[in-house]
Amino acid sequence: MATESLTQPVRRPSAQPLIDLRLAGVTYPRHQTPALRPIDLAVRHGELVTLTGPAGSGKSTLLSVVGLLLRPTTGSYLLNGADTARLADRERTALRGRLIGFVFQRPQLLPARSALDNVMIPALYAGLTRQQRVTAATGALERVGLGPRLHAAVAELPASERQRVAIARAIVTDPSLLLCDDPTASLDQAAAAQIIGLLVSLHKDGRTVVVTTRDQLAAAHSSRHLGVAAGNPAGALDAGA
Amino acid sequence: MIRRRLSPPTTLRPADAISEAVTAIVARPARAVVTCIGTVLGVAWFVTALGLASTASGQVAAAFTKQLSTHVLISPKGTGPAPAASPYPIDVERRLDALRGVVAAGVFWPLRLSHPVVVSAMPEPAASGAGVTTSQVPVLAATPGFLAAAGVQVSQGRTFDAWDQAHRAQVCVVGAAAATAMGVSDLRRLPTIYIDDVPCAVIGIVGRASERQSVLRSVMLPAATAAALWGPPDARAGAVPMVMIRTRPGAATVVARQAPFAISATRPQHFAVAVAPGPVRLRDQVMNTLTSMFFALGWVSLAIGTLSIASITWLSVRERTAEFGLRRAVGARRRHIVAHVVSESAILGVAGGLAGASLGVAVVILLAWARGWVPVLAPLTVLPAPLAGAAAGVLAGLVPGLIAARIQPAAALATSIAG
Repeated sequence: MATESLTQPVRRPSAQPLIDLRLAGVTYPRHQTPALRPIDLAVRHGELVTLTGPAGSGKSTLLSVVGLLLRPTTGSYLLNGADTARLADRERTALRGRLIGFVFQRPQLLPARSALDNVMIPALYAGLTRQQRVTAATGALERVGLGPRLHAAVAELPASERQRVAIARAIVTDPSLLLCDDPTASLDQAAAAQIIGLLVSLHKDGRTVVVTTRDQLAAAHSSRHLGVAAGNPAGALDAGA
Repeated sequence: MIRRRLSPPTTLRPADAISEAVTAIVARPARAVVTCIGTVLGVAWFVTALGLASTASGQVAAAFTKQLSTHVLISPKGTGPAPAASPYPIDVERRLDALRGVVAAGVFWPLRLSHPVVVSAMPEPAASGAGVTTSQVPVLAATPGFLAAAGVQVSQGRTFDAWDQAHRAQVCVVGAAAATAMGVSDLRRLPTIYIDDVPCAVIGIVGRASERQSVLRSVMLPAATAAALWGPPDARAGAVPMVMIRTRPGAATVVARQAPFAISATRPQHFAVAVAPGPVRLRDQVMNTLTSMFFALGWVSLAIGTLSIASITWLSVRERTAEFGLRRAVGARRRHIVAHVVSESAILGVAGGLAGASLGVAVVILLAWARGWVPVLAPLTVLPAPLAGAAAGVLAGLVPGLIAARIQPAAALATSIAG
């Protein structure tokens, strides 16, 4: 890949987990019931972990906490060894920007812009010059198989290619952790299989990947498969209390 | 590098913020135009108002002169046909009085004698031991009509009249300032002044004049008396006889057109006519009020322009919640979001300022052209317009920017990017 490394990629298996989450619960502001019941989650470097569960079980909330999009109400969360509870917004933003790449359920692309422009957005905040951004985004788009569609308006791309653009955007700053929130939800079976294949190959490049999905195929590829049932994870996700 | 706990903070270069803003604006041209339109109109109005104010001041001044002048001054062009002859017919005052709108008219000329005019007052004031007080005071030969036309009011005594004129009476009226200079203060002492050794009884002291304030520093004696004693006015010696006309308000310009024909129907072109400017203070007051009103309206419209950018920017921020959430999720700090919003609104403000200034200049020129005025535009009112637009844009972007900065990164999941 032509992208430049921003933080040293953390790809060697190590005793210390990349994600060490001991969650006592998440409650959204202005909501009474918790969105997530107590959960412990540990993910080591280089793992591909899939989280499955019915709608409303809290998969997305869990992923948001892992990705520093939400602060857990209680409990502790060590990301790459840093205690995220003590971090100011500036530092959480830096970790999000440099360590984590997101793929959302919806591609969340700026419709009026080209694929290249969309992929360049995270690089904007990474301190790269415009030329470096173009190089990194081109590399990321080539990596997801969209080399020929660099300048296509994203509104004109088919759904599967839009999701590929979103994946390219997630890897443009070469983060070591890729978080994907049900990336195949709006795709047909063939397109979903392609996307899963792409995520698996990105994992094989050395990235740690956490995917929430309803797709059995994804679960089959994972090194670990965890079920989340109505806020209560089973398997290695042990109930906290 | 596991030991490294913290990553360096994410950044946003100013140039990148601006190019992102330009990209976002270009991507939604219709919204950009709608956002700008308030500023365009505000700045356009500002420039138009100031341009019209400066353009109009000249026109208003002229209009005021036309409307409020009450005095017309006529002088002969060049020297008269014969050195000893008056350029005016003997009944010039009667002819002018016959014109509609004329209140009074009269001939006057400064006495230019072969040697300096020496005015001595008698009886000499008690304070002066020299016996005779001499002073260099201008002496005017004037008809009673001139005194009326100048609006002369005596503080003591009376003015000379047609009887004095007819009998070539050796009388005079003295302006208050001249009277003080010569030590003439009390008419009950029957003061006499000597003009070129000719005694003239002081019959009045002029306290006020509505026009031609120089009469307060002068001595005036009947024109007929002066002509009998020193001969008719000699234009070549600098004693140019002139006619002063007082008109009713608003009639000055019409009278000015007709007067040369009334004086001489055969050679009206021999007379130069001047309309005295109207009451200057009133005109200035009106102009100041006008200018400050235009200014106030300009500021109000600029404020409205700012508010319109602010409200549309706010709407656009709400519309772009998912986008800003996404930017926060991929590494944008709160201040970067503020920078995005403010740079967009500032660029729109500058664009609006430029467009508005151009529009304003065009309107001023068109209006002036349509009314036959000379357009006057100070560079100081036009050049800062884009700056004013930028200031309006920054101001307008601040509050929506701060609102946008509060968007949580989780909004990237919760809402979908519109489009």
